[in-house]
Amino acid sequence: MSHLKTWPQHLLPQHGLTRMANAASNSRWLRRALIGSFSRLYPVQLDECVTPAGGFSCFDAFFTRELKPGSRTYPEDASALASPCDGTISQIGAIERGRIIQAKGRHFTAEELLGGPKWAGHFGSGRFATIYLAPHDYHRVHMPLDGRLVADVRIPGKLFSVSASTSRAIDRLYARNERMAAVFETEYGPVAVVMVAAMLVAGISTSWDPDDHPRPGKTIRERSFDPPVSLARGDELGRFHWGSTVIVMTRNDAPAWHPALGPDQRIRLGARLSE
Amino acid sequence: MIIALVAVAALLAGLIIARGLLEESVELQAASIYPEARTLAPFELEDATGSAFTEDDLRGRLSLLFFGFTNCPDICPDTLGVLARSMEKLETMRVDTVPQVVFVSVDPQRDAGNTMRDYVDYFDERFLAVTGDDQALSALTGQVGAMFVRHSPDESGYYAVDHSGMIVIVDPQGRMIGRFPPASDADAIAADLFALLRARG
Repeated sequence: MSHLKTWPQHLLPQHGLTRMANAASNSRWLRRALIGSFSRLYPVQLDECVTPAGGFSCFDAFFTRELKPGSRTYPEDASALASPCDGTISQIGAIERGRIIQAKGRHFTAEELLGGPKWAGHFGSGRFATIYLAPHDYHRVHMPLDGRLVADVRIPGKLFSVSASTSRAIDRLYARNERMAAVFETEYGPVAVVMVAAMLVAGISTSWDPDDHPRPGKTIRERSFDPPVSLARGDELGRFHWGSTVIVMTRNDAPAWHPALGPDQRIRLGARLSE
Repeated sequence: MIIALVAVAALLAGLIIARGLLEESVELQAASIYPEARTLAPFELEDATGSAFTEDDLRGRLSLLFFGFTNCPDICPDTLGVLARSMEKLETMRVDTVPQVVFVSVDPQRDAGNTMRDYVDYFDERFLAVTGDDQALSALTGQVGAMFVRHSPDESGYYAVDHSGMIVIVDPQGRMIGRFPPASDADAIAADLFALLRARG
């Protein structure tokens, strides 16, 4: 069934549609119409967001809106991992021999997701959590724990939708879409946070280089930073200029995921992710 | 006879369990110990003379692995200095077999051979220095979670290498059992190693 719903996505001009959507999103002229119809279609919680004086300058500013300070709480235990975003848990579990579950019966590998073996070698056995951001969710992504940025990797790819039905139907979905993988050195060794773009949802910017082009080039680009970039748990890491999916990867050195967490659960930024 | 055997078996089992519990209860100041020890998969690096250094060379005594490069301005000399002081302290605590310290250079281009040997000798002549090409290095660094990134050279040709600063603890069975976080204190390292060596007999 989900195959029937998703096969047309293979035929759509994903990149062209996404460029048009991005242009509209940054237009001052269309902002009222877009923000208005979007707010009618989706349950946006504007009361918890900072609304700039004079309103949002464009749809993109609305989409990447900022939360009011103090609207999310973090675990008291400073070493606990916190959810990097608002969203719905898609899958959560163990990475075994580099394999990550995408949906029932489907998986992809850490190497495919991270664009090669260099960083994936650290995640042969470990844990992953995949969180889907719905269009109306808050679209900034924050650090799940304290860390020092080791590399950011921009990986080109497709722009399939990342909705639950698509993730059940399209093989290796997250490892095929455009994405930005950030690798951090932490108290628990290497931790990766991967932001995956999607159709009409492409465009990812990072807090350490906000003016960097929000979309990858034709080939994989990896950068490291000198002096190093250190971020504390809860600091903004990046934002989606349209919504999508975040995958957090840890090694076995990090604490296990909280046993109460499972697929299809809503989770809020800052909620406890580890035991 | 059977009863005696069962009693002996029960006693042995009790001793083994008690020892396991004792190991767990060692109080450590700096080290974090993993819930489960992890056996290291095969890797092959080489020492200054070009001889192979493999997972087998980590067996028989406690080992400490540190990853860096000899041109490092801060973390490497600091950490090797701290490790040298920790080993001295362990000796004054009358530890028979001090851990073997292995400096793994992640900059083989500049460090291979006598460069890394001379460098570690400056801190402690017993320290080992090993390196390998990127593939050989990754076979070890990926397993222990040590990361490194080489920056592009400046006008003078100098390049920096970012690397993890932790010290990996490997037990005499060649299993990774934990780590000291970067910038751990020499006294704390010595105290923890003393406790680990005692708990493990």
